[in-house]
Amino acid sequence: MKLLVVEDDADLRRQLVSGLESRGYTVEETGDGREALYMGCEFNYDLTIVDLGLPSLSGVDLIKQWRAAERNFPILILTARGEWQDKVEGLEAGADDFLVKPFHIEELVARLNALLRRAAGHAKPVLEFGNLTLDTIGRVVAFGGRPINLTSYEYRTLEYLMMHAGKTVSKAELTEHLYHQDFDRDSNVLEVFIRRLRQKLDPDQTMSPITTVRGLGYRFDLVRTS
Amino acid sequence: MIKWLEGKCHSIRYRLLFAFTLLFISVLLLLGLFLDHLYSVDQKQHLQQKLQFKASLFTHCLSSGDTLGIAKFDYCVSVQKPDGQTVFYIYNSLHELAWGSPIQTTGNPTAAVIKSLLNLKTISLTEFSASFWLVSEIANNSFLLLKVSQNQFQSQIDSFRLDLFGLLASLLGLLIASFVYILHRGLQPLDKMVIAIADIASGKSKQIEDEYASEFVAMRDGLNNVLNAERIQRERYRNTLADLAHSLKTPLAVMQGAASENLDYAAYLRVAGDQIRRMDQIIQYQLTRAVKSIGDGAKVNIVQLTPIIERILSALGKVYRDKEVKVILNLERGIEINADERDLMEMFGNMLENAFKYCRSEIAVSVYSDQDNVFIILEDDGAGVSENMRNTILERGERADTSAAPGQGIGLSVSVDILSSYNCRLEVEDSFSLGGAKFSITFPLH
Repeated sequence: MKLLVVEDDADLRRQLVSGLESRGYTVEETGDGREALYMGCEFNYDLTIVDLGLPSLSGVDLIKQWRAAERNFPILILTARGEWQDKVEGLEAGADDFLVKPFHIEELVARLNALLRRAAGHAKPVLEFGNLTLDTIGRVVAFGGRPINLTSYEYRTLEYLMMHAGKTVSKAELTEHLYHQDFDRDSNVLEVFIRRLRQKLDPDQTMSPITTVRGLGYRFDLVRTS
Repeated sequence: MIKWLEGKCHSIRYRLLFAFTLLFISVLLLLGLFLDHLYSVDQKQHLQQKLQFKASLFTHCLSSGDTLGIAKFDYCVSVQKPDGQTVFYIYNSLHELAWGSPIQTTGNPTAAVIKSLLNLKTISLTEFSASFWLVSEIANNSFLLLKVSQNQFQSQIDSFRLDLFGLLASLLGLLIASFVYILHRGLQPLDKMVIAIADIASGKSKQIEDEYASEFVAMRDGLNNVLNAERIQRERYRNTLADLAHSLKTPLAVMQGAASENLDYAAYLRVAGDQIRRMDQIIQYQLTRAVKSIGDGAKVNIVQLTPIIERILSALGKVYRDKEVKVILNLERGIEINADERDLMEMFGNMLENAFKYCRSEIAVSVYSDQDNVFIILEDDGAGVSENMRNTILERGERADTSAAPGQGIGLSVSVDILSSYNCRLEVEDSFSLGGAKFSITFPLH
């Protein structure tokens, strides 16, 4: 999942980026409201985290302009003041949730996971596809209750495909949402991840959870049971 | 000089004085010109009547053959010099001099001038060649021209003008002096108020207490209200800072103690985390108390109640979308209360968020009013509040639950603080309809 963090305090931004990257998110960052407006309009993000007190363009205005430009990614606002007037204004501008500073990174991760799930149409934190489950909080994939050992990139790829189960996801979309902009898109590393995932999820080749749609991309084909 | 003038331009006193002086001068000048004109017209009429009388007298003497009478005229004519005496000329229809005063033979008007004068065919006085002329027909096609030099007339006018403008100048002086006095008396309350405010600034007094004219009473009371609100807010900030400083010392002491306890890293992190959360709660609580309005009527506005509740419910509905909370609304429309909108946002935001947080799936919000009060009832279908917790839940910083989620407990205390500042009553009961907690707020309208 690719996130954009818009926070003008460099220390807090660094902490957020490092905390989120260590939990497997692809994170891009900026401390400037106008740059954030450009990035949000030009690139696709799965979620943005916006501090309300930005210097050049206020968080509320940034959100309004994104929404006016029909950018529909979930937005989590951070506010230092914690007054309800700010929270309500932020939510009315188009944000989806708020978090008052200071906060634990775990709380932030729980909130943004909930927003990501909601955006993908999943209400519960555990995605179940028959015997195959993916816990978005614990970031654990299990088959029949037995955990499957995945690398961070493999987990991210699978999570994105499961979040968009039944839909064909192009290689470009997967690359864009899983990796930084400077990732080498021509490499076949994605195919390697998919091959490994298939081996780990379906060693006997009985389920075929991930289908290659020739010329278009990949599709997660199992049927959701929760 | 320019600086001095610029300085005076900023003074109401000097602006008024300047404006009214200009006004007085303009009015008196216009009045003087008008009176001068009237006098001049009157003098001309008087002269015309005088000449007409002489013309009739001359005609009478001429027709009755009263040569003596004419001789008198002749005599008069003969003593016409110096200028200013009446001179007679008689012209025939060819505009030729038929008879004239024997002496006045030089300086007679030329035939062309006579012609133009006679063509006027008027009996009114005509100004021509530094003299006044009256044309009078005394016999068939014979005209009498009466001429008076303007010098005498002008000297009378000049004398009148001197008297008139002397009088008007004195009147102007009197008016300006009176206006300066009235201005001084009229602006005296402002001067007094400036001194009173300087006394407050220097700490000699706390309020403006002098008696003022009725026009300044509202201003005095308004200033006193602002000063009072400012003083209360200042005290609130001071108390808040003192409370903040004192209340932060305990968690700091705990952390200091933990540092010397030889705790393992995980245990130290736990203690530090607890104390950081406690300090965060203290800061949030004290800051909210410090910035909330005074609520004593000095700084509040008329606000619509239901739109505020609806905005918060809409915002919370977004945040708690996954919980799919059913909200039952029973809102009386158009209720207006005297309050600061931020206070209401803070109060309802905290209380409604608690309802969303602790309900199972349903909350109810009712708002209605009578003549004296507005009643706001918030209910949920959660676990409710036990009997012994109902009083303590309303205490500062107390928490009804035992969950470790940060930020709880403060919201309700802030709400209680705001409610008490507006003299509201809050009751916590069981909700009969939904089975959870019921918070009933009574907000006095007056």
